[in-house]
Amino acid sequence: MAGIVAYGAYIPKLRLDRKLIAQSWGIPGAPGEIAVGNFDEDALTMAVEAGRDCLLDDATGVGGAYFASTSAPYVEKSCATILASVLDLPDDSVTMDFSSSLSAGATAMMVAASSVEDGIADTILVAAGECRIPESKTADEQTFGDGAGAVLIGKKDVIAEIKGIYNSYDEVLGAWKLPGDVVVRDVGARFYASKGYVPGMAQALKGAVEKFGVAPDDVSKVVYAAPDFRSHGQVSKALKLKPEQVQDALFAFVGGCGTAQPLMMLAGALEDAKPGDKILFAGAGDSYVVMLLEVTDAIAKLAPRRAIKGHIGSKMPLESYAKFLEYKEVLKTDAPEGVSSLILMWRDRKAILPLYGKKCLECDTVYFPPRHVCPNCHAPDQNEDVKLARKGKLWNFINDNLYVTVSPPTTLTISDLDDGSRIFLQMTDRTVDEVELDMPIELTFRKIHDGGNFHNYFWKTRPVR
Amino acid sequence: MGDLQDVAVIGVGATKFGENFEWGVDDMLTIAAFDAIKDAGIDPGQLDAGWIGIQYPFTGFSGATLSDAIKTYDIPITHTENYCVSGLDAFRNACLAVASGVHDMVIACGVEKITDQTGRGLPTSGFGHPVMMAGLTAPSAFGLAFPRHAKAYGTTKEHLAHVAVKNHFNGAVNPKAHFRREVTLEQVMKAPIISGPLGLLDCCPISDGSAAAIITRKDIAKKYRDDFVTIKGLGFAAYTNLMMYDKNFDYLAWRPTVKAAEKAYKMAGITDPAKEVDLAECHDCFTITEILNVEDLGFCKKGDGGPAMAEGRFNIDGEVAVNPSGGLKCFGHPIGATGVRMIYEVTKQLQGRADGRQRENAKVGMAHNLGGLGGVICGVVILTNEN
Repeated sequence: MAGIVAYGAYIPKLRLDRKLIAQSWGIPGAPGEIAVGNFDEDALTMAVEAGRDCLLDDATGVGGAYFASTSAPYVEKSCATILASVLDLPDDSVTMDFSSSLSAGATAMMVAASSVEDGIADTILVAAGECRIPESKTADEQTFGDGAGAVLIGKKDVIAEIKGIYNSYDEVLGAWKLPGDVVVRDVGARFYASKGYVPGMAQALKGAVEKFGVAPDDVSKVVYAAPDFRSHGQVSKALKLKPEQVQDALFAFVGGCGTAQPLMMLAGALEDAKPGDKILFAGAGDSYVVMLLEVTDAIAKLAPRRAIKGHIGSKMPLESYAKFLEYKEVLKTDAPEGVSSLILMWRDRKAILPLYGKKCLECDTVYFPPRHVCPNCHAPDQNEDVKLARKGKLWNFINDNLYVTVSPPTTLTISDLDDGSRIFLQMTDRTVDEVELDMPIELTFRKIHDGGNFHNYFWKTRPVR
Repeated sequence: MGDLQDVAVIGVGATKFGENFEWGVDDMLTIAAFDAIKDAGIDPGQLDAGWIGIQYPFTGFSGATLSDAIKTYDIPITHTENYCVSGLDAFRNACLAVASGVHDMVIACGVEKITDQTGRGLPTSGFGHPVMMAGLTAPSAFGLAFPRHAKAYGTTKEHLAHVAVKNHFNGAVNPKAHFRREVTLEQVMKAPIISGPLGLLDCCPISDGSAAAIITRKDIAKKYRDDFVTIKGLGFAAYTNLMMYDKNFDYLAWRPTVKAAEKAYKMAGITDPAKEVDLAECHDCFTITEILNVEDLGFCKKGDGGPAMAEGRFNIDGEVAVNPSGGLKCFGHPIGATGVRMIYEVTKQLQGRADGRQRENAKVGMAHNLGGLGGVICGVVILTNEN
């Protein structure tokens, strides 16, 4: 059966201390912090980052991209195709979008496994990103976090085999959004924990273990999603799980990442897994998707990646609750000048999404943006497409206060990438003080603005995380 | 074929520069053009061609912007657009037309009406790609020179401030300048930061204005006045809009300035600019721009721009009087008008009519105009009164 070939995760660099939320409202605050996407991030850009982490920027052989989110930046229009384009998947890849329920991330994994089994593609990347907007002054505000997780599903070089899949559902209205809603509505944690999630997840895990014929004690880690910290604990208590069996749900320092949460937790579990480990994995929303995974010897050969451990400590504080509201677009402030052309963006899609430049066949200069005539030796139409490097060194920069943006100053950078190309990009996820000539930088995929009433994505630089 | 050095300027005019809220394009063009026509002592009906420099579509389209204002119907009028060099390129094309012998008496003018637009700084969003160029502003595009120049030559923010102090000192006595006040080094250094090292007082203001010049051949000029000025040298050069992607661009020099100056100096026979040029209206959209320009124009050694500025070598009584008018910094910078406004100032200086800001014994003057986000286009015109 199909299994997991690789995993990845993404946690945004900005963290908001829960105390800042609580102080703003004069209400009790939980300890810890939540991860908050920067003003230029959304569920898709975070899924792209998790996907890049999973593939280590090499999509060779990948034949599909499945995207899951309940906070996708488009309501109508696939995000999976954008994900596939940015990751440079071939044109004949399968793409699919999963939404509506917080279980969509786990569902996408299940469908990917079936797709691989059915021969639709040899490997499929599943990436879930979440950027939910909580209602202000509610418990959700201190619970929700932003993040993304990704797995590559395939049949070769599997690091964790899928040994069984179990499904159940339970129609209890817990959290929802009506068309046009910005913030998530919910019924309240007490009712939903009591009559919805806790019995639902406990029953699903019990049913799965029974179906798989595995003794609970033989499971090294139980990776199960939860709507909040408290109900996560109630499930382990109900099932009498040993503390060391319970995979951290990341509530304390990241928050609840919705569809991405189980994938992120799985990345966390696989970071520490040994060959032979059995992992019980479960996504939860209105339905429950449970899988039994068995870790193989191949895990030892998996190249290092950031996943959870490489992201969680790489952080910078979001300085105020007002900024949080502004970044979530709950408070509307100055927006960047949004001038765009859908047709131009389509025409330049290979430069904009997978970031291709040109290599001159006469003088070997790698240059961007792609043009007919080499800017160095002026040879016309003697070039080939080349995907630009994702790392480099800062050659020049300026912090600009004039450009209208929600987060001034705009750090404009000129960088020399590792392939010798020079590129002009905005920088993100930096403090103004840390930017200096010659610092190493890496590229990250972000939203630039919403000009033309669509999302204008492109790349930015950031200090290496 | 005629000779460019036989081309003469016999009249110049300009509006007051500034936030001319009460004036539209038509008002300003009319004031500047008739000011120049009157200065030349000609009748508008004598004009047989015209050029008008405008940068922004919101200011105006086509040559009819000029003919609508001053009713020079039925003659060819061409709109030039070349960023901040739009006006000087109008002047250049007018000079070439006269030198060619096709036209005898022409007008070159420029105008920009920026304050009808609301917003911050110059509108730049139409200048480039929706995502690749997003975030670039005029001060950041030029300010990017600072980190590289500072690293290579030790240029400091204080060096930049000296440019503003000098230009405000000169412009404070200029009745048509946007600002009529001096600024101190401390004020410039402490002004709120706009972009990188550039504070508010390192940046030229948002100004409206118009300027005009009447151009003819030397033999015709003599019939109108004795103190006409002539072209001694002229050079223009365009580079790239994509210098920030260009590994051959080092941000230590404005390449178009270097190339345009080479051509103008060659034509003028100038080999030691610091000694042979008495005054220069030099593009100072931002203080860092002037620092690089004075080096690129050969007024001092490469890298010495900052210290030379601080030493006063470009003061009104220095080796070269740079921006005796107050420059873009103090006089103002209505984009399309600026190049012609430089011709206005250089002409007045060479005629000894620059009241209160007169460079003594001025014989050779330069208009240097750099345009585009980070120095894309440059024009250098050298004028003389030694005819």
